[in-house]
Amino acid sequence: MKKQKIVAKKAAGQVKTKLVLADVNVVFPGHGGAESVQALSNINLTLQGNDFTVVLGSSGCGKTTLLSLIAGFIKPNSGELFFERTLAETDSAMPKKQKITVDGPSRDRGVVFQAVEGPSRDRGVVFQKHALLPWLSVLDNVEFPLKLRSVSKKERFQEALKNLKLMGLEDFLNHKVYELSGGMQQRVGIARALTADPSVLLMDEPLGALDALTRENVQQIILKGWLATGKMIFFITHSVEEALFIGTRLIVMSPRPGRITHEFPLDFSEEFLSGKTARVVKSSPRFIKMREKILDIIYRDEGLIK
Amino acid sequence: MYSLQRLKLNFAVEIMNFIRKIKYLFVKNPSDTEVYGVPGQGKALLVSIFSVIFFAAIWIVVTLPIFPSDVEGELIPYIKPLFLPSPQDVFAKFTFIWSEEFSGGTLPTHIGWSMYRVFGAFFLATATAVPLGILMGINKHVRGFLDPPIEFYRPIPPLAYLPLMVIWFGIGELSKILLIFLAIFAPLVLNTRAGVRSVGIELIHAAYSMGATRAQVTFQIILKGAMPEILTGMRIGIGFGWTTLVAAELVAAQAGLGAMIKSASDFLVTDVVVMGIVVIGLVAYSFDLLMRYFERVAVPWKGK
Repeated sequence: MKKQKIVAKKAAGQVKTKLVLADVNVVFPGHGGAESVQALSNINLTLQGNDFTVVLGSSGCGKTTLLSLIAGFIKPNSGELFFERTLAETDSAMPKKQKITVDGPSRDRGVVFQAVEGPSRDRGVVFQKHALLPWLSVLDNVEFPLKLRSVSKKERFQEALKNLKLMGLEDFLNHKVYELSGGMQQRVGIARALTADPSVLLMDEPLGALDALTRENVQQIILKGWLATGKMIFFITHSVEEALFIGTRLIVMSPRPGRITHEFPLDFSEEFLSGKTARVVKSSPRFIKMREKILDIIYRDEGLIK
Repeated sequence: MYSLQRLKLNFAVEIMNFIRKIKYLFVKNPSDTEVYGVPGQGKALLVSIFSVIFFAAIWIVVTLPIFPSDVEGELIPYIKPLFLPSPQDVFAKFTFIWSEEFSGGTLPTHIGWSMYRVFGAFFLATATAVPLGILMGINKHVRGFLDPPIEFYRPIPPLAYLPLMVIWFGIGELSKILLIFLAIFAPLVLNTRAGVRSVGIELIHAAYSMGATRAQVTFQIILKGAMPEILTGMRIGIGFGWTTLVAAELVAAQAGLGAMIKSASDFLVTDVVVMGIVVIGLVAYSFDLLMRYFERVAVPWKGK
């Protein structure tokens, strides 16, 4: 039943958005005579629709570099990074939302290419350390992206409240962010990122600093939020269990040089969203088998087993 | 016999409790469960009150006229009033000069002039050092250009360049305010710059990812994020301002607390010197308390 909702959300969208990384390389120069490091090597990756892409890999494999690259905090040494938006056929005029500054040419056959250059509000980021503004209340933090664009107060409030409700925080509008627990702070961060209405939501180990119980709880809130908004999500984690549970697509990366080595489709989140409890999903034999398989891959990368 | 023993025991327990209470005044707040805490935790207010009383008592005792002098029947204190007048004498001088003129004005006039100079310089320093500190933080060219002159003059005592100020700007208000201004400017600009650096890169990245422009990041993220350090810089700066006050008023000041102290010292009127010192201390301390209160209200997130 809920699966239909996902499909409906897709059809209602005016455009089909793809985020494409083509042959991307990132090299960090060595400091003080050290050798330069190939942080990312030949990354080819396409994120599309409402993909919930989860990235796993041993430390130093370039997960965060990849996220910084998509966010626009760093730029590639070579390769291309762009959005490809296909306008719906019935849509003759460009929808208002898509009036974006495009890089170079244009709207060939209804397809818009927009190069990713620098950070922009079409790529929202949720950080491991919450990165909320401590001088603002919870509500003001979530309204902040709209305030930057001088959106009217009423509209700001409606949008922020909608996203805070989605994260289960409607009772904490006027709290100071430093009064909240770690899990709540991260949920405020997610609500804020959603309020900017980005094409893709980038999350850099958002639950890494949380305790195990809070973590499970926030995973479920994120999944429900994803279902409700149909956002494209790019999610980095260290936890294999979290990755399998939350994503629709798993990418495993390896270090030296940082590269994508494996890719798996995932459907465990579907089981959860269609009514099974998180514990039932996570303790099913299929889940455990998959978990051990991924752990084996990562341990081999780390050189812990041959 | 038995009851006497019990009485002794009770008495011993009372003594022990008393000693423990006294000990807690110096060690930390009484807590029965916490054995090892953060070093120095707990409130020290009681100890501070004790400290004030302790030093005041020493002052009173060493200035009490209780020793016989060479003159028959006259008692003199341990320290002569020329070197240290008694607190009573200082207070008497305070009330006297409050209404009677001394060295060109009553006490309120002196305080008024000094506050005008210190706060005038403080205001000018805040208006210039904060924007420049922000610029130094966000622009490497500005930082590279301003760093050498500021770091060069910062450790030089204001008394050393006071003659230069007088030669350049005369003996009027300009050179006085400028001297105090320079003393406040350096710590304020450096604290502001440090404040800019203390703003986490995540906050800046987050703002850009929400569509903020460079100006929005500067004013809505960096300026606000640097606020705690700016306020600390203001507190340190105004402290330097008061430190420099007497030096600034050394040359041809008609009125002012520093001028009053200078002229009193020329005539060996020690009680006015001490009174001037105490007044400067109290005014500066009151303002610091005000700043601390303002800090709590303006940047309640500091350290959280």
